[in-house]
Amino acid sequence: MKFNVNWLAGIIERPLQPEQLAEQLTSAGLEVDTVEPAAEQFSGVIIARIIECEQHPDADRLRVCKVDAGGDEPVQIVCGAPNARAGLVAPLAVIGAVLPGDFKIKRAKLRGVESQGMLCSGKELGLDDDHDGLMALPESAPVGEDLRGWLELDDSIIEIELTPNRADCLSLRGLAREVSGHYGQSYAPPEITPVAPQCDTTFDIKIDNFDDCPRYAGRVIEDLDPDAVSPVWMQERLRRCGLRSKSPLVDVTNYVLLEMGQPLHAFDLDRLKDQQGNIPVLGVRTARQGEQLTLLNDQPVELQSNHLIITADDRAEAMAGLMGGLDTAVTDDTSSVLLESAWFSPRMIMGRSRDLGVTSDAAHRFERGIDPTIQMQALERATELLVEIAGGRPGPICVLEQADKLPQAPTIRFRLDRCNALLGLQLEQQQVVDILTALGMQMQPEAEGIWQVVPPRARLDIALEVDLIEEIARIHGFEHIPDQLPAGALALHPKPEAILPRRRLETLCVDLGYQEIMSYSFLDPDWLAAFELTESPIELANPISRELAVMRPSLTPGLVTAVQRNLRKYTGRHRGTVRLFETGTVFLPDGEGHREVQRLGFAACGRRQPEQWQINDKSAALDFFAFKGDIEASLNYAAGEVSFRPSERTFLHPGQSADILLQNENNVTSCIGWLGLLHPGLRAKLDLDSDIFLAELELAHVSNGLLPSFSKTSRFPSIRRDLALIVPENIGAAEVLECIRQHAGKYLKTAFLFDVYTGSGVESGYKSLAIGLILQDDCQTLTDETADNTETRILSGLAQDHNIRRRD
Amino acid sequence: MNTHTTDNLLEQAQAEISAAADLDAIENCRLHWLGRKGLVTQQLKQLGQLEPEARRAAGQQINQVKKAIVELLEARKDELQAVALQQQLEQQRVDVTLPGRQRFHYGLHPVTRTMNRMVEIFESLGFQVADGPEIEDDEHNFEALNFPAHHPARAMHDTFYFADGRLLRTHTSPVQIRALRAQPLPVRVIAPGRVYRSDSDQTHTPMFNQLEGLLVAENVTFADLKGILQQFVNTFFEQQLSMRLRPSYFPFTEPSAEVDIAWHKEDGSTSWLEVLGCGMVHPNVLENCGVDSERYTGYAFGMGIERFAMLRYGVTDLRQFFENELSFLEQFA
Repeated sequence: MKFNVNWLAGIIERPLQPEQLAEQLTSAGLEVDTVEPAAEQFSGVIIARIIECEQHPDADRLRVCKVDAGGDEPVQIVCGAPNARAGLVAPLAVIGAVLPGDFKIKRAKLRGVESQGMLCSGKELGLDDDHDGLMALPESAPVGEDLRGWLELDDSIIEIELTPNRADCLSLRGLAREVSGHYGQSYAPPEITPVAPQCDTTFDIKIDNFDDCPRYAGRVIEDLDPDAVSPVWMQERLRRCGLRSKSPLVDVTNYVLLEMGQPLHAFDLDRLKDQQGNIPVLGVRTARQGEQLTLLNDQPVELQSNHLIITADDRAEAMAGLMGGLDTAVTDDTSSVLLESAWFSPRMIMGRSRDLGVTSDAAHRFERGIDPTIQMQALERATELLVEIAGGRPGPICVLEQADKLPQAPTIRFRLDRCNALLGLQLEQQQVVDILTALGMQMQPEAEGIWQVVPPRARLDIALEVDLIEEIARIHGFEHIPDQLPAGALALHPKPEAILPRRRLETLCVDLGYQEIMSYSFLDPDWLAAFELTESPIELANPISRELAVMRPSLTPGLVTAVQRNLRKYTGRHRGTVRLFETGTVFLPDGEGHREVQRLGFAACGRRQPEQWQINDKSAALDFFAFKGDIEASLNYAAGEVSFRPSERTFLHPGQSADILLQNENNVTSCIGWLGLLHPGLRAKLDLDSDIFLAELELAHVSNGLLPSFSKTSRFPSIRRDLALIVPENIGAAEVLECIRQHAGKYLKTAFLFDVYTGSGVESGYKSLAIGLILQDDCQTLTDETADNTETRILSGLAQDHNIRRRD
Repeated sequence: MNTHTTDNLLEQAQAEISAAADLDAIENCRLHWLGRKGLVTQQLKQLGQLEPEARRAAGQQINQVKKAIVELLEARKDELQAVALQQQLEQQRVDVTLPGRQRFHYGLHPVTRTMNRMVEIFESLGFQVADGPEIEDDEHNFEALNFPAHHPARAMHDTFYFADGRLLRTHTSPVQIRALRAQPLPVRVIAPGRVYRSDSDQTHTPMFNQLEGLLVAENVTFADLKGILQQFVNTFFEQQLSMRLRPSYFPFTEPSAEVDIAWHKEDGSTSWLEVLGCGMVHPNVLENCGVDSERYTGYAFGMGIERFAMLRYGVTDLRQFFENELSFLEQFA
């Protein structure tokens, strides 16, 4: 809502300082966006009339004008404007004038002819964008008078961003009620005297459902002068409120909209009439599915059954409260109109603008709710203005209504105690009475500190006691409410020790040398096929773009995108190395609905350690096992036995990928994630410059640990035995270790692999594994003989199960 | 054996020992003098040939010589060991200014970092972290929060929808509803998390993070809300900041306020910056969650985590948070 301060000051009959008003509005909850002067700075511009206008002797495009500037003698002005003509009243910048942009007017000769100033366009004065010619002022403008003063240009324009609840401030009178209240004075709008009908043309109204439209009023005005021009004061007020002057008809409806907040619609009466010249019945009903209407902005609309429309003899002619139809719109030639002033239910208007992409000042107000008391007054006010400007003969007001279906002012029980308790204040009775009555509320005392309050009917936002408390808070000033230190009963919350806090896990990933990233939760659907994520993704109905159209079922695409971007763009010290992790929600379809699952994802390429002295490039390159080591480190906390088995995921390298399995306390094994090298084929398709290792884990399994449970340690010495084994290539190290554990018996404390060897000395098809065994007895010192027995048992088990033998 | 001979022996030994250049030479000396065939040992062996009278005197003399030689050997050995150690230390000297074994040093995302800080501050005041789904239904995201269907207040939220009518939560406020319905009173929760609005330009990203706060108990006042927010802002930014609350409108709180802080800019000027929205929980919201709004009151607040991160670290373009560029992210390590 944009308005000029002088207009408001005139209504509340109180001088207003723009900056101070702006601050006051903001602190009362009407947030001020901008405060601007109504006109740029200029001086020395007066109103002048061209007396004579002749061709310049030496220039085709210049005219030499004799101009009455209010002095004894006319002045001579050379002018290039195409609309310069004798009789035109226009602004004249006299010698010594300063125009916007610090442009000084001096005596000058143009092609040999002297000019004693400059006739100005609206644009040159910064008043409008019209550069076609001189700014035409009304014939009646007082020649010789200062233009600034005459137009009251020392004024400011304030734009406020109103919250949706404050529809009552979408008019000057509404603002007057609010601002007056700030000064402790309730605002009473002026009485409007009805305009006596001068013709008896009437029409019938039919309302299908009074819930949608409890009041529909209108009147005919005939024989308007189509050539009439709106007065300058009105044009200027419209301009300052952000509307362009068009014709008196349009200007008057806009003016009443701004002044009172009631949208009016003008139908061209002649175009509304049927072929016999009869005025049709005006109807208000919901549209039939598929009815057609072209709006006056030329937009065709296929109407829906929830659209409220205005009909003429049942033919759709306007969308109620939103915009009129093209067929019955007023034009420059319109001489008779039917003015509509109605109250439409916000419920029927809400969302239509958005649905149809049509915005209008009317819809903006109707969907927020307008004052249900002003429809007749607005008609009278518009008639009064229109007749004054363009003549015409108004008919009687026609109205159909069910007033009890209009919003009624509620009666609200207001308790001072409750108000003070909610705000943390100790206000006195008189203070709240003063505040509320200044805002136009009627207050009826019920008991000590309790009132029955009736708000003004325009304040549709006030229905509950808490609404009144808010009024008091904002007028009293939030700054006058004290700051109370936090208090309350201390309470302890559950804190499961076995669950690794998310923050700790994130820190662990950072410490492993990974940077956290944050990707959008939506993806390009193209990623889905690449990463085997095709099972019916969750699609947005209204995505911003195709790249952000489905909810991510995996963190991997985001990580790969980030790697890709950094391989190309990152040129810092670790160029070529990217190590990232992300934690976050993925969205998985689940029957009719979906599941949201927290995941932890990794992506890495390049080096495992930064480039540095003493470490050669080969040993520093990231490989499967370096990456696996990081993933294992992140899994250290998981409750249960973690194991890896070759993965069959097609987006990973078939020989360097694994599914991660977790066996829980109940011996149930489940897959909790995977890791591996991105498949070289996919890597080529994605145009990636490096091998990338990826992993994705279920966060819950990573962070759900077990409470430690102590068991006694042996105090007897242990014996270490090393085994060098010849193992068929297709048998995994994990299988060998598992076999050892199975056959070892009770003295084996730990078995671990410390070397893998292939090459000379080991026949092809086999590998040599070196395994360390720590043996210990809990009850006595272990003898070599017992250790030998354990070793023998292990070796025979290995031979039996897997044809594994000891290396000679 | 006379004194002259033993003096002579000692002198010779002395010369030889001090000439020994390393530990091997010392060992040779020891063998030469004190070994089984050493010169002193031979002298001792010859004692038996002397008269008992002379034998004692000679024995004493030789033993003195022997003792002196042992001492000389030890002393020289210590000396040489010290030299050897010195040499070893010299050899083992490294350039301590060479870099140590380097590891990658990365960090948390600045939004996570900021979120963690916020959570820690509120946890210290007894708030508990609560969460809710990111795909929400209309009831939790709007209806229960007192947004009527089609109400213009909904236009403030550019909502992403799914075909079945569900939506991506436009704020963390639905967690208020979930917490109020699930937890016994009093409720004191914060809810950090991702939210979504269908808006994308220099100052808007379609996804961002919010932190919601909710306290519902008996006798909670607007003054409590002002107090906790002022303390939070001061604690978060580690300075005393002027704060102002401007009346505003959110359907789920009343009175509602937007909160500005007086921010000192680099050029020395100060301006009001909006950092969060808040208010007293609307009685309709409490009733929607089965809470007696006469007995209980509460406050709620919601803040954009990126907004705080931008102010805290001087980031000027919101979009950078989601571009995942290392050149940006590594600055927060």
